[in-house]
Amino acid sequence: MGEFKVHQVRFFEYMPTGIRALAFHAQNEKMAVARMDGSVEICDCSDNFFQEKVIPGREQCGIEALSWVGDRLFSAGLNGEIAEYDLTNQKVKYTIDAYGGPIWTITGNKQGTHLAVGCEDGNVKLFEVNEDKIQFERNLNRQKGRIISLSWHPSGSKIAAGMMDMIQVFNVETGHSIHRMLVDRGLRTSRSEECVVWSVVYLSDGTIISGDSAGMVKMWDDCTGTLIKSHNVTKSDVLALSVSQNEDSLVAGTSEGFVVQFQFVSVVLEKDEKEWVRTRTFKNHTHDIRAVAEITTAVVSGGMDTQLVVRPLLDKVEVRSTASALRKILFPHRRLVSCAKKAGLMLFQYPSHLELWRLGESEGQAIPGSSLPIIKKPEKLLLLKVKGEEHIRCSIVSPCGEWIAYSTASSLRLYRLNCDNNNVSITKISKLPKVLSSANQLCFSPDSSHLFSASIESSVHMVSLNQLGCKYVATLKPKSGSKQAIHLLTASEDGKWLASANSDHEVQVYNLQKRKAHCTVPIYSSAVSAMAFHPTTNCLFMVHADQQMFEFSIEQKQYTDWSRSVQRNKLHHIWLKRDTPVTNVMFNPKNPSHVILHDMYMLCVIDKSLPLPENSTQFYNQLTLKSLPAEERKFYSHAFKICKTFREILCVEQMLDQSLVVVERPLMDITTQLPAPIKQKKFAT
Amino acid sequence: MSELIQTQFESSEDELPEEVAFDESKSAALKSVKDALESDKREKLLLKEKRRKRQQLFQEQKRKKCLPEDVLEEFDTLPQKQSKASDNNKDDEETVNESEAEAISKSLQDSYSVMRLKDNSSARSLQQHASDFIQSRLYGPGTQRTTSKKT
Repeated sequence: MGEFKVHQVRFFEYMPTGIRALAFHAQNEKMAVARMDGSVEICDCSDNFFQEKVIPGREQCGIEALSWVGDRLFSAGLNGEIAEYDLTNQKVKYTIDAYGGPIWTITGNKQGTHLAVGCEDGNVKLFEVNEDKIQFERNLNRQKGRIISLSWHPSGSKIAAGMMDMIQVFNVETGHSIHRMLVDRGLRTSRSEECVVWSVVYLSDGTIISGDSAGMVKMWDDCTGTLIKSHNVTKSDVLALSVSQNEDSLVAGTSEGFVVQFQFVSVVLEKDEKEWVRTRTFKNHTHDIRAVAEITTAVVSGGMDTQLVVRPLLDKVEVRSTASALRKILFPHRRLVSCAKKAGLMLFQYPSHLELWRLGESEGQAIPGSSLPIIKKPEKLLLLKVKGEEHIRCSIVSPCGEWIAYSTASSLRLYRLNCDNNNVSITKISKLPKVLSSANQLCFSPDSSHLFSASIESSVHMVSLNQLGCKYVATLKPKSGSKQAIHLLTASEDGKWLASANSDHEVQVYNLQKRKAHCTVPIYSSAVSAMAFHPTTNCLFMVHADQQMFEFSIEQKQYTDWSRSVQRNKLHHIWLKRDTPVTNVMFNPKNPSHVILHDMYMLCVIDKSLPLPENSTQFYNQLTLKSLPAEERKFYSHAFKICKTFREILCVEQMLDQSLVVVERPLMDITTQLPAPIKQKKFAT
Repeated sequence: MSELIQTQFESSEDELPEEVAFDESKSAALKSVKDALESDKREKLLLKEKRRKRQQLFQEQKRKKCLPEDVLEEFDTLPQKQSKASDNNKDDEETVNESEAEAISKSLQDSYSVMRLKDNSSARSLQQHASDFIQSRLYGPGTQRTTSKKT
């Protein structure tokens, strides 16, 4: 039924960057994740942690801390600048130099009026948050050491600062230091090395909790300025602390890769005296944990092993569902690979360069499951470096293989490619229409005659391409007037329709001949993770982050019958429990009822002509079907055919000769290139 | 025994007291006064010498702080030239600036140097210092790290 020649590609050396900071926005349930290369991702915690917005970073620009103030996101880094992000357009709004040297931490007060930054020169600087910008207000009393961490008291009147060897408590109004609490240097490290207080948390009852480089979590009293209790958690550093909303649970992330939970419980049953007691340990990381955040029902942690781990707290989860399973987010939810179907070329997007490869060739036939001999090896045709310091936001190669386009946060570049067998030449199209300044997403029409660029306010610019260059044709604007950025664009095979999906969960369909909006798909609560037009029926097939799928007929402007039957029957529970989103949808030219999807771990062919599986039937039934005789197979087979032979799939694409390309990135290859973890003594080694 | 005593007495009794001539004592007294005067003078001369040297040193330092004389002369003549064309002015100013820069660099001590604000190297070095700090705390000596391949 589905026999494909598959190119198994492992030469895309995708390397994710470590997570440096997390910031949780409680009302919207959004998690902001800052990475070491300066990029920020906004994940929707209620939508399976789908990465709904990605703000690319820059060279030589790391982020040290993130903070939400109301609905605004601020970050600070070692370059001494505070940046505010424009989340609607997914870029940096502006940066302000704090003039205090490298900034180690930034935190906003609960009232949303002020931002405090801790600087290398020992100053705690207060900035007033105005409507459009932030403005420097004053410095608190300057200290002699660097300020590593800060925490506001919920009332906003006091602020605790973690420094080298000590914790200082400041009175915000006067700027004076109220208490100076000295932290012990560790016993196992040399006495001459100072103890760094990596993280502090200030509770509303006046308790200050600190995590330091000696591996201790200490509880201090701010009335008397003395130590209440000290817990030895690890033999390396405690790098991050986070307290829950109602202040009864604290999580500490360590350098060894485990998260320790403390809970504020009464030691004796039914007595009111409560204490911070160490309860659980979660070991889900292999490398240092640089950031933890406790959200309402889970503990989210991220660190140098680049994975975002969501560990639900089972005592807070009421119903056992997909939400109560451990989730690890490793690969990005956006595509980094695009392919030129007619030319057999693949374009790989790295942060600051692009690579164009030609696929290898093989010959002969073989039985399914075996590999064919390669007669021509894949070769790297082009390495295109980005001019400037910004990272690439999106990139694409045209289906004919003659055009390459990429966009950073501030500019868009278009190149014309000439491949005559062995000679590859590339020319930059210098005169671009003025509207093409920066794109959130790019898409070529299937005949490579037009380029679509998703721009501000959910609008799409359409430009035509020919031998001479590029000419502006039209701008397609949505009827709803949404301002959010588009993250998915797809064009139909006949070149008549274009669909766009934005962060407001809107899917717009445009008529390219009339160059106007045609219809909108009814808004669904989950974001679209992949969508494509069927080549013959022009139905739009959409898969969402919560694993639901819909098929929408463009001509009739309503869901198709098959889509309705899927919603009635409800998808199989094993399909819904998958924890990675589908990132590409393709169709089989030989069989119009086939839909090919993939996520990080599996490749699936859905046969719409076969019945849908019931919840009670076996889902992964490929092997059992093979063992049955032919007549019985028809009785048991259902629409979902899953193939799990490939590991850690980054992308699956389809070529013109109906072969599939599977780009794999085995986790082992990523792990071996990560920075060194702490040596841990394992049993029997 | 009595003879010994007698001789002693005799020696002290028999001899006449020494005669000291008036002239000799006078000359001795005068000489001592002269010596005192001379030593006084010498001291004064020495002090004067010291003061002179100190004064010279101060003058030298003061001279070092100021611009050399030829530049000062040019400054005096510069306001007179302002009425001329702007091109000429600029050239002069440039030459003045250049010579000024040279003069400053000649007069600066060894540990100082002239840098442009555009080069902005201080911010970079601070950032480097901070990232070195965190690198050394997390991955430097004292931490027990192993390679990723062993995990």
